[in-house]
Amino acid sequence: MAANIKHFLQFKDFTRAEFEYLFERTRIIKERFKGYQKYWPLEDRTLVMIFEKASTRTRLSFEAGMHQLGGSAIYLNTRDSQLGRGEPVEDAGKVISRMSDIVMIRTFEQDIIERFARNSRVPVINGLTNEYHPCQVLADIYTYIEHRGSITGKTVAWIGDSNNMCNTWLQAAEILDFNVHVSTPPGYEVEPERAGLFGAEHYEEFADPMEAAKGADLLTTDVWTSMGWEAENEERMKDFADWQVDGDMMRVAAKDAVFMHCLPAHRGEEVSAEVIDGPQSVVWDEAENRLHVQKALMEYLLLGKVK
Amino acid sequence: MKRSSPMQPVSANANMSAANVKPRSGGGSQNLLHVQKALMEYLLLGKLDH
Repeated sequence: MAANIKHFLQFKDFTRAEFEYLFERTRIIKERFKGYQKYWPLEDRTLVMIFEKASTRTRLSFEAGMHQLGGSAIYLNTRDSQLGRGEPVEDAGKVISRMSDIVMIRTFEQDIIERFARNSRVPVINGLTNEYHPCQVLADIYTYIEHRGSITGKTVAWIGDSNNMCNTWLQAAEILDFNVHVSTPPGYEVEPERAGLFGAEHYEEFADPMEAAKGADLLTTDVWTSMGWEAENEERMKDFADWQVDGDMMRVAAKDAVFMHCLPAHRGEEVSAEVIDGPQSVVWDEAENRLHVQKALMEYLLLGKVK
Repeated sequence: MKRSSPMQPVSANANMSAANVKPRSGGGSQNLLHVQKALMEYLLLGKLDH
């Protein structure tokens, strides 16, 4: 059903050319927003946002973004909709997509959103799953382009857990042709199949996080305990103790390296205050750019390429 | 500061095929949406001339 609908469920759903288009549209849409220019291409369109996990930035950026494009957004949480538990996820996909124009889902297993999308007659966007977080990496790469230009050929150092953000960076590296240095504590290494990779040509694993950071153009990390793994928190605090992005690590990176974090950040754990609040940090631009890239994404999914 | 400018001439319908988005169509559970819209219109505005 609805096999020809375009969704954004993981980073590799789009081609390099599509990302280049999206980055250009993001620039235009952001510029208009900053100039208070009304732009309502999605007037009368309705976005349904389904959250099975907590969210601040994702809800805010999607809801504000849809309003700014002239449409409406409806927020559903686990009290209103429990995918796969209240009713089969396939049925939810069929019903919700008949009453809306586009759907964003934050849920647990990637399989849930894939099954929903297969039964949806409107585009579905991944607002974070256990495996992937494509909207965040879309914003991160746009932020890098804004600050430093093309990311092609550059080196991104991922320090910490091989989580949904790490997996998405690895997919992005294959599509946009850059390299990722990954350093995780033992036992938390990349799982290529779970990351959905085509190969291993675009990333290298390092036991020592300082080695991973050497010469990198972008350093990034995430909380030591992602949503859904809270039961392991105490163990992770010990395991990840040496995987903090601090001033020493930034100093071995490229001189013009930037630091990113998808937030919320825990200063003194995965990143020192010196780094996240320092001159190389672009985390606030990164957070804001969620709004702009997602507006470009929704425009593209609903209207196709705009001339 | 610019406050308003002409909207970019985007034709949603014209672009739907490019985006591979299906046009809205009726049937099944979707009719809950449509009858409720007609109900609210009637309760708030009374009978309208088609």
